[in-house]
Amino acid sequence: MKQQIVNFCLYLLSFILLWEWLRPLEYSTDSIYTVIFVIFIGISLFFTFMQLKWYISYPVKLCYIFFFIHQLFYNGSVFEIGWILEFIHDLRYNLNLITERYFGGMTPPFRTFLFFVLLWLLVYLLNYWIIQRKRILLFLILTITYVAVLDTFSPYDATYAIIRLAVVGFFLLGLLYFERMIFSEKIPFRSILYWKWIVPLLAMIVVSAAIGWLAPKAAPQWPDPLPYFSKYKQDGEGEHLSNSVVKKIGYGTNDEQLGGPFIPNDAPAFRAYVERQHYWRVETKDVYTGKGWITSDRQFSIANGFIGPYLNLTSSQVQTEQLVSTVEIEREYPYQHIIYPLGLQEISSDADQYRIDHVTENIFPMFNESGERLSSYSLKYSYPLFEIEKLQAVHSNEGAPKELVERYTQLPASLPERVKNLAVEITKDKNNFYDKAKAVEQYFLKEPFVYETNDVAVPELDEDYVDQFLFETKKGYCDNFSTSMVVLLRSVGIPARWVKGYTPGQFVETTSEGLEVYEVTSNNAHSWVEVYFSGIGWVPFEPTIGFSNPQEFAHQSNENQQDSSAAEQEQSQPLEEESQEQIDTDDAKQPKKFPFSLSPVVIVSIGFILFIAACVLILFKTRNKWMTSWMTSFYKWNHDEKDFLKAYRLLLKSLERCGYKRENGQTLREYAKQIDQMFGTNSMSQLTYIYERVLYRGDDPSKEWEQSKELWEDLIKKTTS
Amino acid sequence: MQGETMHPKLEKIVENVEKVIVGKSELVILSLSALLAGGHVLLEDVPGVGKTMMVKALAKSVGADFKRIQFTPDLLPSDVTGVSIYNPKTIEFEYRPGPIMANIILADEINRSSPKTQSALLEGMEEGSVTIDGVTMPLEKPFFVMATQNPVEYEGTYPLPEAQLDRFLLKLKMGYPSVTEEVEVLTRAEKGQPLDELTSVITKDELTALQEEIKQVYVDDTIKHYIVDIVNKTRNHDSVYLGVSPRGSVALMKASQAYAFIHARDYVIPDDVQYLSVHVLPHRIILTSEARYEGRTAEQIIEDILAEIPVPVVRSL
Repeated sequence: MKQQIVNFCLYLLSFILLWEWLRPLEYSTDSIYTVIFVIFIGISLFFTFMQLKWYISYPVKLCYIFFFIHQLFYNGSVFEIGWILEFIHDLRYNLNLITERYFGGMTPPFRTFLFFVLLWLLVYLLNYWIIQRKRILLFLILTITYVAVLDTFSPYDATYAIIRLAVVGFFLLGLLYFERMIFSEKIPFRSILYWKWIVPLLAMIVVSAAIGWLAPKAAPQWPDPLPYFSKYKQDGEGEHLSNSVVKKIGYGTNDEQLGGPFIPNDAPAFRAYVERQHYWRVETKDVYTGKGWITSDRQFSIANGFIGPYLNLTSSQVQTEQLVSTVEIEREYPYQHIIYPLGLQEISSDADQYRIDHVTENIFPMFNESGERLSSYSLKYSYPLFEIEKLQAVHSNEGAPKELVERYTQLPASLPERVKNLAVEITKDKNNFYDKAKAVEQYFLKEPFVYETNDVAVPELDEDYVDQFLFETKKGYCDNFSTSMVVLLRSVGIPARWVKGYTPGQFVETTSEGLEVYEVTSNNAHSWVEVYFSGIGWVPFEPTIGFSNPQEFAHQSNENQQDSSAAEQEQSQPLEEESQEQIDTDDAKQPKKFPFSLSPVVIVSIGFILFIAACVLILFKTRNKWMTSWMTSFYKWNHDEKDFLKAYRLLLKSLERCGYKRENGQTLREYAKQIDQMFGTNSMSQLTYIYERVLYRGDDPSKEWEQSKELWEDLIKKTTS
Repeated sequence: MQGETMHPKLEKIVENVEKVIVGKSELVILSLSALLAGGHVLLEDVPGVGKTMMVKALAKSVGADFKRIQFTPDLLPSDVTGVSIYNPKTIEFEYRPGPIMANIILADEINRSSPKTQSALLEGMEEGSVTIDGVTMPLEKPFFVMATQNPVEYEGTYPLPEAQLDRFLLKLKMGYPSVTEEVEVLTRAEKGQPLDELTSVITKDELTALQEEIKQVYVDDTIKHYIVDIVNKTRNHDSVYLGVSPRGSVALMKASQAYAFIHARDYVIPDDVQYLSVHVLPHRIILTSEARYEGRTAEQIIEDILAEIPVPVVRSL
């Protein structure tokens, strides 16, 4: 009975240990009802403690699992057959997914079910470790590693978890060590012994934990990696800026406050099937506030698929190329907006209509029924090919709509004078808009400007974002460069605006139809500049270091149809861009100590893999036990006449695994005697005498085997204990 | 093998002999094995440790005639085999049997006599008959020779040739008794000679029957292979100049059968083979001179081989 109390303590402590695995789930995954799982492990451990027969405990546990799966995911009564059928259907669907190794697509009920099963197994393992092996160190190390990793790389705060783990873990270790000693020395149970052991143990743990808690601690020696990983709390929702930290993650819609680090996020955004590479526009902004960008006005139009007339980006004089492309939006992509290239003419998709904002050039699909969203659409567009000579011919805003010029030469009154002076300084030798724009664009290529995503300043209240970048920090990412270029151009009276969208992305493959497939992720979110040329339209420029000018622009006018240099340039640019993107991603990574990004899924799966590896290791280490016990039952119920020979051979092997190796020249009798001395029995000798009769006398093995099964079983059990 | 049950009759013989010889049961069992297997024993030991006493006790226990021949340099073959003497009354040569015409013979200090005399005995041992004046006389069965050799004196000895050593099934050493054993010897000596009080346990005929029974002891093929493996190894061993002959393999098997029989088994186990190898094989091999200079003995070589050759413990299924 007293032993029961000790066992109960062991189970209670292991319950607390296991609980620590579940606590962070609320923080790092989308599981909310962790208490259900906690109760489940509690029940499972309790059943194990009570040593309930499986035919009682299994049904109860299964009922528990199904009840809560129903509660969480299905409607209606538990006793209806409908949800069960649905669940079975779900099960089959998920099993198919597993065979196809498409683990990402598993449905929540199935994942919950799997998690329950995992917990069940864990409880079983824990029971084995604690009661059979009386060892817990490995599990404790795993637990601490798990908590430490989550503490480091996720918002989960494990300060108290570590203390709990230390206290519970060391107490459990101490108790189990004592149990082992008691067991190996065959000391009868006396509670006074336990008190003698437990009291100093507890005192020591409490004192050392208290010292650890109160003692002064050194500051972290490594830079806190948290900024790179805390992102997933707001994954893909860059516009919800937290109160204190200004930062940019992927594509955002709110640009009122620019600056702060650019957090890499490789979550896929969309997949594009294109005939040629180009930038993808989403929207433009017209008003610079000194801190960021806002939109002055909104003017909506509703259109069916023919968008071209509403946008009117370039004049009809510009030479164009007719292209088509298809965009497949990822399911997780948080925005509804249409992503389109310059020169968009027509959209075809499931949407009934489109809403176009004339000021921002943002296009949204509209549905008659609410709740729908686009998963893919195809685009037709007249991609402009600008000729430099024609651009160079523009010297003023003559002929441009007045309100347009007014709107896109807006500057905040607070803009420091030195910015304007700089703009004049940069463009003073140039006489046309194109050369001026080029001069500004190339100004950033010069030495002091550095591409930097991490250490990017946020302007103070009295500072101007552009001024700070141009004169003080001189390092930043696309927003810094593009905003600065717009402001500089506006300072010299050239209409310019700030464009947001995506770079072409990563090339994946070429389809059989000859379309190139690009994978665009949140990391490809970008901003650049468009300059208005009277009579031509909006022409894109790319001031950011490490990014190539959108290629449609770099086309030289040439009267000869054979435009070799342009062709060359066109060909070389995609490559150049690829490599430059490589460079800038490397750039972006270098200052960070952690060149990979860990999502919580990855952390949990690493933990899971570690756990599986540990299980496999344990299975291998204890193969003696489970293999022989399996063999025991196998031979026990088999009546093959060769069985005795096989069984004896197996016994020899498992003895050898236990470290009692038979020497080459050692006869079975001598060996048996040695083994019997070791075990303090004479079963081995008895069995060996019978075996000798079979082997050396040619007796019938099956008859002898019937008699000696018990001896054999006894010995096999000894080898496994 | 200590602790193993023994054939009840044979156990009695051993007990009987032990009444006279203190603490030499192992040696007695081995001698009995040789007797039962129809072989002979070469005892190599110093005088005075009770060789004669043991053989006499053994002979008495099995109800056999016992003769002792003291080998001296001037011993003639006819002194061993017997001689034909002219009887004037019958006008015929009459055969006077020599000491060899007995069941159990102790040939003391066999290496002291000339090879010619030795070979007279050895012929009897191998053939089971002696030839006198061209007449072959069969020897009575059972016939068992226990020859002794004195390892101390080498002056004036004629060491047995290798070919003849081969005739002995076992070569044994008696050794001195331990302190307690020797005290026991003294106690018994006070009371007078216990040898005279010994009675036979079995008759000569029973002994012959037992000898026949031993041939029925089962030797599994695995054991035969094991024996051959051991013997073969002596032929390929680096330290061995001349290995064990096939006669040695047969001897080892027969001795093992007898030994198993004594232990109330009708089948031979590797333990029997191993135990007997060190008594059956060493005198059948000749070491290379290198090995001799290294101070290695034939017994050590055999033990090495036994440790090396894998014991058959599984049957190929």
